Amino acid sequence: MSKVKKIFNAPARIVDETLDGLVALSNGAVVREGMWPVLRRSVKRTGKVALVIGGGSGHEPMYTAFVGEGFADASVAGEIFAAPSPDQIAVAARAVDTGKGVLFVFGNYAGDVMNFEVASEILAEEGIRCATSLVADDAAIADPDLKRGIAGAVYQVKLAAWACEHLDTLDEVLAFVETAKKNLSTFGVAVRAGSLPHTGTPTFEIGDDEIEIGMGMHGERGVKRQKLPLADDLTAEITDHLVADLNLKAGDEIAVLLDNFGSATYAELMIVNRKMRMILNERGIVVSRFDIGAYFTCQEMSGFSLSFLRLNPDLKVALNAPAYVPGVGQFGGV
Amino acid sequence: MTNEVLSAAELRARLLRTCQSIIDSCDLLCQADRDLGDGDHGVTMARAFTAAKEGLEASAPVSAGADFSMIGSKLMGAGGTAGIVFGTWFSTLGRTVADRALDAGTLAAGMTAAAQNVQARGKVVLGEKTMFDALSPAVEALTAAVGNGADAALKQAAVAAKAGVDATRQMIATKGKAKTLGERSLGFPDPGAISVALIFEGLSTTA
Repeated sequence: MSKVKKIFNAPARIVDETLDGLVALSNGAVVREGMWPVLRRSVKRTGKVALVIGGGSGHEPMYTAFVGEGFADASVAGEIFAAPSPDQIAVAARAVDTGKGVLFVFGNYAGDVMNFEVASEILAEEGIRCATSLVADDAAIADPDLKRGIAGAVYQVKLAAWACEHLDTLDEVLAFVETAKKNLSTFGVAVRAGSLPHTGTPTFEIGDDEIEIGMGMHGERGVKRQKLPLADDLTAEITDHLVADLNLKAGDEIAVLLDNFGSATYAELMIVNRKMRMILNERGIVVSRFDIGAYFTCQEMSGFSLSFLRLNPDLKVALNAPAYVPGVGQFGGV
Repeated sequence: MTNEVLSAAELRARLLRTCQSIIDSCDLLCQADRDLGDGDHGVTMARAFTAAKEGLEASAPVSAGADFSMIGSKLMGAGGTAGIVFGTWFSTLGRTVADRALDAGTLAAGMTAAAQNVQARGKVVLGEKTMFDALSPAVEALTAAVGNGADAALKQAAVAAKAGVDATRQMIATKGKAKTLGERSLGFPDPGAISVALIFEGLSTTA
């Protein structure tokens, strides 16, 4: 097996150097907390519930970069594909808590759940209240406990940020996000794996004529593998799945996030977008906001996911609040 | 009966070899994880056990409990699923053994408490194709063999852990990143279970 080439200095420094690069481009908007793998807003926001997000690295810009106006107060980065440690999470929470408690938003993965759980126990002993809203938007998995957290995280974090800014207590914030996320559903596919920089080996093997359906965010395999279909057929399958998952009806308004896993081409994404719009138009479902980009990636994995968020007046206000992500820019939708 | 009590110095030597064995198994563990998950188990384990090894090397072997606790906190600090799970194992072991001499009974009590905490933290039961499927039978075998001394008990644990690894081949994953594979997870041994077997092998091997 030939090794995948990648440009870096040393595997052990990838996370550190990525964080430093982000700080450098943020024009002072975000800083690192000491030497920890923690980014936070340089100006501490007081009088509100703090939002801390995080997870394994290797998916940039998510979660790391989504700190700043309209997004999190701090992010904590684990090693590549590995959850941050309890100490690291606790450092992030302490750095941004101003007495109103901390909401954690992260993906539903065993490692993240356990590490954030231990961090919450440590922080509780110090008198810092924490609550968790898990990202579990993966429509490929039916069992709610097993749903993985994938690209819908971008919307969930943004809604959580709005709630932290505008609602008073941690309980109210948590209730808002937990209700909101019932309207969120994501489905991903991939035709080629990304690779772990440490080893240079792809995270899975896949045939030249195959596609992984229900792809997760770590190159961990999806739910089925099949021969590569035509783009229109694939798009129809995904769109139908999401419409059914959210039980969308004519007249419903949705936001759509089309996420590039790393190396999907713009043309592929537009061909998917074209067919998805045709189907939604036929069904009378209105796309009132559209976000496209490589927000939640898996190294150079080639594939994409579609996230649908059913909107209501409250969610529309929350989702459309001004936001800026260092390295991604304005997050305003089109 | 030989080695009725494992001295702090002997345990230290075995722990250092165990750390090295995990570090040396990085590729093997990554390949096992590629079959089921995201392919990074070996990287996380190697990083965690490198930190543990450095922690040990920077301290004198005072007691078994202190060594186990040192490893526990270093693993916990390494992050990832492996860090928290294996860190919980060694931290509990360290707290339970504390400053007592490491005879078979003390070791079995520590390992039993550790397995319980790992199970509670991971919310796992047997048969879910996780490291617990090697840890639990290993601790049971160790407990059953306490009458034969710490050394013999650890050897029994190592045998049981290996058998536990083999048994995971026939299990369908319902936890961790392999959980979405369903029947596609059949035939592959769980990488975390392989790590458990490597650890018991290291703990039971005299130089």
